[in-house]
Amino acid sequence: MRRLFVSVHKSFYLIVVAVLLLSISSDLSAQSNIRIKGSVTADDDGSPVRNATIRIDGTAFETTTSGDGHFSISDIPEGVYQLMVTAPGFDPYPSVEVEVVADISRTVHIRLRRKIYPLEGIRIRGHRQPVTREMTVIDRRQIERTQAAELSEVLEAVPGVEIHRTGPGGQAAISIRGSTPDQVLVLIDGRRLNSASGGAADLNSIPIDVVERIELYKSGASAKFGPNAMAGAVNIVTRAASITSPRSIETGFSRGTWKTYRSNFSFESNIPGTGISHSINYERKSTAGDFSYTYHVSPGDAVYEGTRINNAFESQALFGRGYLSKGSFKADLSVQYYDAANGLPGKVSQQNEDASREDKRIQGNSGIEYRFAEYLTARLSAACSENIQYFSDRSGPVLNQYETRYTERGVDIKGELVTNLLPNHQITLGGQYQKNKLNHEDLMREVYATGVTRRTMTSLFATAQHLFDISRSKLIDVVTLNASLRYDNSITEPEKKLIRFPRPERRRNVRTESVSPLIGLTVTKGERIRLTGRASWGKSLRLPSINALFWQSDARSAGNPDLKPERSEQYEVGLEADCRLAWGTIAAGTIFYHKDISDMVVWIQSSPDGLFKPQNIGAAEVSGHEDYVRFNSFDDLLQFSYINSVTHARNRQTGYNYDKVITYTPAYVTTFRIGLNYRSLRVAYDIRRVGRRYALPGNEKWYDSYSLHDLAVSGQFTLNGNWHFELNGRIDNLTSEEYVLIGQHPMPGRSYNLGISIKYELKGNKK
Amino acid sequence: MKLTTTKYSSLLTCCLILLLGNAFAAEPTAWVINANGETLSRINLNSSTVDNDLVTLGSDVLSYPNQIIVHDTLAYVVCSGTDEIQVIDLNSLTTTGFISTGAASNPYWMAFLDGSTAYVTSFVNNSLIKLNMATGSIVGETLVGTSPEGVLIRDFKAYIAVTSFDPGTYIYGQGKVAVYDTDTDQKLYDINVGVNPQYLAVDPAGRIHVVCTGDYWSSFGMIYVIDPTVDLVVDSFSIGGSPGQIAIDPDGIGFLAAGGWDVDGYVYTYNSLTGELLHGPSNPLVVGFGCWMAVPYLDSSVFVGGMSNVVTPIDSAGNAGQQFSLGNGPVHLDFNYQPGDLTGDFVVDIADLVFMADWYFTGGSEPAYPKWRANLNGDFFYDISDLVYLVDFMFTGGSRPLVGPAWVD
Repeated sequence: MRRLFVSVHKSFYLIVVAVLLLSISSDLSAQSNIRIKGSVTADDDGSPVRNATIRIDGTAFETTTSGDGHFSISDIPEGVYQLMVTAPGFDPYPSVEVEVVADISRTVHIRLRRKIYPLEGIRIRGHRQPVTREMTVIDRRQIERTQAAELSEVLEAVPGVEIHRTGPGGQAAISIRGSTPDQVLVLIDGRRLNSASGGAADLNSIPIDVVERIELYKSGASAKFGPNAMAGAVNIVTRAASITSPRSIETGFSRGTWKTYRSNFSFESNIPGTGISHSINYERKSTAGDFSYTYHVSPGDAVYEGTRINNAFESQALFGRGYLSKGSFKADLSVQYYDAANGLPGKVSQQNEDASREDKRIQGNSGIEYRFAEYLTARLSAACSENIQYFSDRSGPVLNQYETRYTERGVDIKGELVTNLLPNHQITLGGQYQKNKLNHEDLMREVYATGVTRRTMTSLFATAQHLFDISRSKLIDVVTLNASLRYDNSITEPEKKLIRFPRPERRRNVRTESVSPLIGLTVTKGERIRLTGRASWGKSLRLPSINALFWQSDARSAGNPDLKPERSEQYEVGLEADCRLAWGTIAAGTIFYHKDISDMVVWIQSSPDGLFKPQNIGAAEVSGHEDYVRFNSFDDLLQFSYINSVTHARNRQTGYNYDKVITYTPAYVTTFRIGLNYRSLRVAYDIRRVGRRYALPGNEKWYDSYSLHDLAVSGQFTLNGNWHFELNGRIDNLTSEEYVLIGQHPMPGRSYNLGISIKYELKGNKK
Repeated sequence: MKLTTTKYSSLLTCCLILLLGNAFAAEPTAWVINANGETLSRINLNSSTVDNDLVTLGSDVLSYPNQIIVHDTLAYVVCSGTDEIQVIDLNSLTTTGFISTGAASNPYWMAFLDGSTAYVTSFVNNSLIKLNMATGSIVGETLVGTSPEGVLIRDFKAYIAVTSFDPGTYIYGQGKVAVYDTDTDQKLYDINVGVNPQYLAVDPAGRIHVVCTGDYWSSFGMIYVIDPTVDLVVDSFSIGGSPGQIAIDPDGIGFLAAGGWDVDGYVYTYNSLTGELLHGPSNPLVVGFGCWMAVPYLDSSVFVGGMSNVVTPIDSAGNAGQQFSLGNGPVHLDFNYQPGDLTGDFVVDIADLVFMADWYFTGGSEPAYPKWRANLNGDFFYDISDLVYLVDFMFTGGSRPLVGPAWVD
């Protein structure tokens, strides 16, 4: 391990030097016959615009910008030309006149204005989406800026979000504002990713390269997505090749500490004139994972150290997506395959080298959209999926042994109509039908298998939004009111086995009906210096898990079919200000939130039998605030952000640790980030300070606060206009800080990762 | 001869009283472990004050402490989750060390043979682990039966409650008490008892009472009585419910911690000598909810408590004393009984010498529960050497009396 460390350490610095040299000299690689070159950036924040199309009017010359927003067109005869620039998400640029003279290259820098998507007949002032709105969007550009290797690392930078990991190669589950991971609904292209067994979703099962944007709901989102989004939702939208993008092949490889390897391959293409584009992405990851650790639990002076074993991880993911856009009609088809195998190291006091887990997911999504008229659009989508999870440990004492498998198959059909019949008004009406079949097999103790459980859910939903332009009042420019309402009816049908405890009876079906509302108000004022205020209120719920309802009773525990859904009521109030200056943008904001959670399912012993059974007795109160300050220079040279989230998550279960802080919820998380983009060199330095985490419900033991320093460096350069190279390196946990996320699961110290990515655009220039 | 001895002892007593030798006093204290909070608490029984969160239990979180044994100024805590025995200095309130019972061994209950040797059951390994407490090492391990829990040592034999819980099927098999010879460190034989035997206690007649909790479904609480002189079941009677920890007071009243997990907690009582059920499932003593602890104190009461975070002393008539608010989930406690304190006032002084002389030479009453306080030199017998030890401590600067085998009576 030591030898590897030295080797990687040296290699890292060599790569950094190489990146610097290549980045600074990348312009030297420009060809002598280039006539027009330049860059395309966003008007509001100066960020580079990827895939912008630059066309010379009246000719066949055309190209697109690379990832850093640069372009070049060569072999152009002398003359005066009109340059036309378009890009998805931006208003078309008015033509610009360029004169090409012999042996002189012309450089053009173009700023595009970000396209505003107003409701019918309404012009929305301003240029940025307020972060205080109910949904936070992280787009591809922001994802790339983080230089993250995993999707979970991107989300970790969002205020109020915590990622729960058990090691360097294992699963990564999301917690929002003190929630448990199973209270957060994770969707991929609108389809549920949460596991059938534990309820949590593994974010690392989605390659970061396939993510186009992340839509994050930090408050309860049952009004949008139905049950199971009680603490929020994450919708991960995968990338679809643009019909204007060049055909390209990209491959990458990286290696890091603990023999971590990652390789990926992607292909994007389109069929000119047909409106069809498609993409394929394949990723393979593996790690040996074992690492040395040191940590301590407070109060106490004892320091625990050793080596974590059985952290090996191996996965592969294949994502394919096709897209058709023809006039008013759009169609989308995607297929996802993922499988992974990893060790389960166990607690440090009971490390286990034999326990393992396997995951396999196959999912197909399809959707069509047709715009009947300016005021009416219809969408219909369907998906089917199969998730298999297998857990095994057949070594050691029999009591510790298990072998179990969950197989879940599901169908999901959703239709919606979007109308703009009235001015300034938009209404969405829809319905959804979901049917899931979960088969739990206990391969070691067959009699304790839950068997096949079917859950059918039928939903109706409506969303209305209205804009009031009251700029004449000089006090407020725009007021936006939105309201969502969703009705869900579910029936859960267990296999009709005999329950032995607490009294012999046949299992019965469980029906649940729920209505989830959400109301929001947004007020904006100003354009150059814009103030945005926001408030929202809503109710959400989470259905009891199938395990909690129908756990096959044994000598110590039993399920409880009388369970009600867990419920939450939340509100939030936020204020944001952003200002465009000559040299950049500054934005700052704060949001206060509060939620009450009731009927939480807690497994306790109960009378008269003393069996452990789930009961709706838990309650919690979570409040806090999230603050940020961001600066970004227009040329994207310098970025700075400060994010602070403070959480007060208290137990409100009467008689049991009342008012104690909920375990593993840090009191605060503060993130400080500096980013530097110089030519093709990109540097990011993050400091993340996490407050104390209590490890026991009574708060008697805790893990101390810690600070993590992460450094990422990357450089891109282009050869011949078609070949794009990127070298990147990361050092995570630079100071080798000791920390623990989950009890008895210490995290590793300093780690390195070095990578290279090569992209070849098959059609750089069209003539 | 007897007359001569009586005169001699009376003369000696008078002389010693006049001399007023060295003495030792301690506050009567209950040391409580809290299972949920994984902390140590202290109840001062003189002032009725409680101190919580004194020491963190376990070397890490999720230590699941099961049992505490106090030996003078040291406490030994069985941490089943972190597979260790934690040794705590009660004077400085610091952990002096952890004795590992082996990875994933899940130690359940412990009993001392003498001052330096202890046996602990391993629920997962189906074994009895022998520990040298002086060196902090495992010196032996013997298979005793499937999923053993409680252990009790008496007359150089360890009695182990073997639940026969089959971890492969989660079904309880034939409950047994395994008998183990501490001289040869071998299992001798099994004694069949009821379903799911968990805890053991000794009644005033010297018989061993085995609490068979039942399978929580089709079979319920039973008491099996074993005569250790012949190692046979000599009695059994039904209790009902699903009782756990047992305490038998010097009057022979057995107290059973019987759960109660919703609003109230319950304690059942019975006459251990006759088998008469005094308070059963139909008329339980009501205490704080989630009662899982029952520990006898001197000859006066039994301390019960559990999930309600309250410990309550109750007497044999069911009268509750002052409640103590403890840490998070008190699961077991032990008292700082002082070796040499025969009078039960937590002071080792001339009165104890008088008590001992009276007991030895004039036919006076035996020391009250627990009797082992009269075994001052830490061996396995009550004899004149204990008296000599006490005299040596009080008048010639000898060392303090030692903690001997708790099972000697």
